[in-house]
Amino acid sequence: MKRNLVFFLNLSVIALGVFGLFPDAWASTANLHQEAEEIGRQLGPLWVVPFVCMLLSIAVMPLALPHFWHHHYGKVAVFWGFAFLVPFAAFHGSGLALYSVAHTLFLEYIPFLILLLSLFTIAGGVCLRGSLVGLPQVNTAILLIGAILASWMGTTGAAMLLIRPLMRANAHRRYKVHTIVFFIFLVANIGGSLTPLGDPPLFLGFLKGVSFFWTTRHLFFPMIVMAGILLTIYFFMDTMLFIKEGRPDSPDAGKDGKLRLEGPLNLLLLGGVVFGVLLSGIWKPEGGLTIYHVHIELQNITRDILLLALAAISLKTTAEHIRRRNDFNWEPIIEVAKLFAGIFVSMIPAIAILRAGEHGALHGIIALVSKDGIPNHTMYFWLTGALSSFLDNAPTYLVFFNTAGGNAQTLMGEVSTLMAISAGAVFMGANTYIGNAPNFMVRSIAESGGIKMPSFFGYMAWSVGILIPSFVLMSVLFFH
Amino acid sequence: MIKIESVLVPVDGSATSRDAVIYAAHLLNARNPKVYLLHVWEPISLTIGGEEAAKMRQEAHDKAMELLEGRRKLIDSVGLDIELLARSGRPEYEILNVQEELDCDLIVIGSRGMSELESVIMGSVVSGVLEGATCPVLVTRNLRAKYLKEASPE
Repeated sequence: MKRNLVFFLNLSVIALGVFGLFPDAWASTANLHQEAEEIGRQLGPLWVVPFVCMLLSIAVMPLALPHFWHHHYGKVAVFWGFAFLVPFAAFHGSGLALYSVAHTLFLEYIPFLILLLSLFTIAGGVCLRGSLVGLPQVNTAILLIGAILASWMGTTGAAMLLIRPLMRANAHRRYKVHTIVFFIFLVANIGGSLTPLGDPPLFLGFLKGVSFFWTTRHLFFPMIVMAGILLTIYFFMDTMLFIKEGRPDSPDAGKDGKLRLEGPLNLLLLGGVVFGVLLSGIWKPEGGLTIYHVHIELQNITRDILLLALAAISLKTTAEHIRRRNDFNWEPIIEVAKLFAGIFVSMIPAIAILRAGEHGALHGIIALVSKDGIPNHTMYFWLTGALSSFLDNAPTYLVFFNTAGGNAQTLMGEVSTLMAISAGAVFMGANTYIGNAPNFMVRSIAESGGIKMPSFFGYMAWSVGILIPSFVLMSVLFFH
Repeated sequence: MIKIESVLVPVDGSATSRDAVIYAAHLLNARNPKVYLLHVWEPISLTIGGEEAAKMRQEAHDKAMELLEGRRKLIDSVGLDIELLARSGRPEYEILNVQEELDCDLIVIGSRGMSELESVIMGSVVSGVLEGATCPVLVTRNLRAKYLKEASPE
């Protein structure tokens, strides 16, 4: 914890130092907003290298250099952030660099992190206890409940709430891996597709102006079909394996008393989070705060303060033993904070270039997803999905949101493109362990609990065998 | 009469925790309790999984056991029944989990002390343990040389 404090302190000092070298950053009076809007036309493809390297670092370094990554992943994130920022300040002026960072920081990174922090803290204060026996129908019901909860408490929150009870319920079963894999598919990913609380990409869309219930309305049927397919496959698979195991009895049945929920106040606080996020989408007051030419709207400041207050109430009021049973600790959120600092900063030029559309250096990508200005929804679904599988799905969503024009009102009106991007990002985050943060959290908890999870490619065999054929069906039904 | 049958002594690499081990062993010697020396190691980064994570967990576990062995040697001469435990997670939670699981009657823990700012921001392991423990907690800090001299096997 102390190291983390020192990390963020050092980072601030370095950042101030960098901008201190360029005094015009503080004296600029130019219309920075306008400049930032137009800079994408001037940037060559090389500017995207730090972003690509940042994402590749997350994908490759934990496998190739696990020790180095464990101790230095924060520094790697900072390195790629500065690998973009320093040359950008030198070539395009530190005023514009500072504005771009402030814009990303105040309008995207901080609200994103505050939402994750509050959901993580509040969901970590709820504990499901009591005897659950890992029968096929019970396991399927847990997956179904998790998929429903995921859109309202976040995929991370729902996964953290249910993964340990599910593992306890199946402790006596010989075959457990398939249950964890389907849990990742459904609870850690697909279930989160209905609201901005569900999955980080959708919250980024919300911050860009997509209304709260837009995905609830438009992704409802795709989600129901997808979840229906997976639950059916799971139920049959688990029943077959259960019979193969000889219908084992659970030695722990009835030992932990009746099924009960500890920390129920936190469910109320989750309701508060929904209210806070909804409020910031509906309430349009005048005023706010302007920091270095970046205007932060009052409704967003109010939302963030409310979310932090709700997290603080959860910390203060939840009995310590509940958090202990959940193995609650801050490491996952610190990891997300550090990695996403690097992602958001290094992503700035990629987003700017994509916003420039056919006039930008990444016109090749634009050409892939639209022909003569007409968007190809199947391509949007598959490209957003393919990249979401191997890179984190939140930045991928933003990239394609901007590729499609970046205007929330227009995209909501046209429906199909935004549907394809949202579904691609959320659904296909399940394709690999690194597609979505809760995937590797669940794997880590399962492995610490003694379940031998498949390797990176072993897991992909599951997703290629089960998810990809389902996605083909989805693109035929909904995204064509 | 209250019996102290098992004692939990959390251990890290610090001198204060080393002193706490020595003090606990000699203070409780006559009661002949079972002593659990526990070290909690930092969890592996979540982005690392599979064989790499398993290998790193094993390494962290081995390192923890090495530290614990070192501490055990300090009090071997006392002749207590000692068991070594290594866990991963948030230290105060793991200490309390072990206390609950093994039904320990006493926790002896060394406090390193933190600055005002640090304790406001993070809280300390010791205060977390004090808050959640369901058995008495004995906190040692800045032990005067005489306690360690009297206890020291040398």
